Amino acid sequence: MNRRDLRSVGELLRSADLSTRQILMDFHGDDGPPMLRTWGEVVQGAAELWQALPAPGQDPAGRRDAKAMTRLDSVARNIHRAQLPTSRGSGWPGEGPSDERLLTVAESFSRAADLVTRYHRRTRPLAPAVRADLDAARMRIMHILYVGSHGVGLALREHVRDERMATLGARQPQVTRAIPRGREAITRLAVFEQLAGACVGGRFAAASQGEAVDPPQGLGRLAEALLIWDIQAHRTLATAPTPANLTMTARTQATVATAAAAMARAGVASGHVDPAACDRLSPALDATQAAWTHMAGRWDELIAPTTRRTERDLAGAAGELRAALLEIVHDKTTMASPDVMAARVDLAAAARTFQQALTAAVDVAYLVRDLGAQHQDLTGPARTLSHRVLAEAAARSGSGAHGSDLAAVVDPKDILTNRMIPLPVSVRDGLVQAASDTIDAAGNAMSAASSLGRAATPISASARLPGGSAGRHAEDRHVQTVLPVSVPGYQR
Amino acid sequence: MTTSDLEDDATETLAGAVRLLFRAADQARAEADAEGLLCQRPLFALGVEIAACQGSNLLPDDVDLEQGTEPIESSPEQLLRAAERLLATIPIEACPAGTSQLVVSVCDLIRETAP
Repeated sequence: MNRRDLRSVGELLRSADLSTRQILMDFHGDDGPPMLRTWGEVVQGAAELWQALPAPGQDPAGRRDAKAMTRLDSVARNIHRAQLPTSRGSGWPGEGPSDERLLTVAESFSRAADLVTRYHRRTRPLAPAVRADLDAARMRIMHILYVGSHGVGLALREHVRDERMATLGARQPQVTRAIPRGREAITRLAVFEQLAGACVGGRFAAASQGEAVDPPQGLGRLAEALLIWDIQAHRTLATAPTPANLTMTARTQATVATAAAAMARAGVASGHVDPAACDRLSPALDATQAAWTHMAGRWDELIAPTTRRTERDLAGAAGELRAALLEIVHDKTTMASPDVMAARVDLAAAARTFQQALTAAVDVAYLVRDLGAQHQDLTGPARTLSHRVLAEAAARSGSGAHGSDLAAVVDPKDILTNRMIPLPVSVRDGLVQAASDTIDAAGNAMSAASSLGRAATPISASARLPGGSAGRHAEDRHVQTVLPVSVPGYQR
Repeated sequence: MTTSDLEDDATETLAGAVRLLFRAADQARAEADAEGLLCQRPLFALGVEIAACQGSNLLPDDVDLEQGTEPIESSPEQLLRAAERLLATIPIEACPAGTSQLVVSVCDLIRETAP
């Protein structure tokens, strides 16, 4: 006998919310097809519940969200339709098991819709408290769909990656069909996620005016993310050169160097990058990474509890860049192996993409140095600065620092209250020196990277990969000579 | 409880989650610096830092992100899970716009480190 479900609408939605979060934290590539099969049911349940809730009346925000729900339902129907067999062939992923966890989400929506339909009395006008409750329910539905679609999209992405690895070199259509069809589904889910995300993120107007575009993948995504990052870093540092923003900038640049080094080494292992070129580049990249990390640490010291916020757009651009890098260099919980990276992107082309990023990094380093030297409003917490003053004095003298070194530049009362104080000269000099070291390291990396593109050896690479494949797009690849790139500001 | 009370509670809980995220970011960064260049840790540390920044941008300017009690969790992974548990207690409608994206970022990071 089934136990009667006594949960309220609110409890059912909360349970669905927790389930989607749980799914997002724990799935594997194999879960992708079952999740895709079940997603239509989830959205259908959500749409039915939305429909069952009393209409938002003349409230513009409510009417706008209702339109969004209609669009989401329509996108989900198209995703579902693509799974059905047609005259051109069978659908993908075809028949198979559903995802049990998503099924419970769909059931929660259906049960909630049933409760609303059965017990709600349609009286007008609705009391303010009821209206607020309804708004809350709609927000929860949209949130669940947003989190859920993100999870399904990621699971599919992992599934497609696994398929690509498993079928490397295979040409049978029945084996490789999951890759193009999976990519189509990923793109459609990305559109769904973008629409739902615009609703929960309060950016609906912007999203509804422009058509959702296909998100780029692989190297295209990385190239775009690097470009957007560079532009955003310049914009933010021009308008809000706070220690928090400078720290985020330096740490992101360090991460770019880390990923470039990982990809260069993978390129050598898979035969797409000349070992001699990598031998020149690797130490330079290591030094660049260390220099950016050191500089990030110096700027981080200037952040106070009240100034920890990083500009939203800068964090957004850094997040997208990290996601684009992760898509290539990350596998499960560790760095991807060279074979895996080579299967994901053309590593020779990746090297060329990084060349441009390493060139742009030099200019960012100059910008940071100029800010350190010229920005007169820089302040930091007195206690941290006092430690730094002592450390700088000790480094200069080669022996221990004296209290007199400190008392001369930081007022003991400021240390007691940990007040924000202007930068002492020695601390500013240290920041400028750290930036100058970064400029040198970034310049060396840029020079070393210039030989990467010339040295690609795709033909001899094939023997080094399992199955004899030279990696993605290897057939179309040509050895390219990289032209010298002009570096704005490098000669300053 | 009024809507305003609910939002005040949500802000306080969200601030608690953001403090945990900053703590996780500091620890992840220290581990990344210790482990060196060729490892996954710097990418993970940057992700946690970005999530912490994302969270802090949802809070009013006057919220102090350093106060609060010492968390019992000791690793970045545990701190992330604690932050997610805290986020899960907040009714999503009481949160500022953009909280859903923070939830997704935190869950993504937890999955990245899950064995």
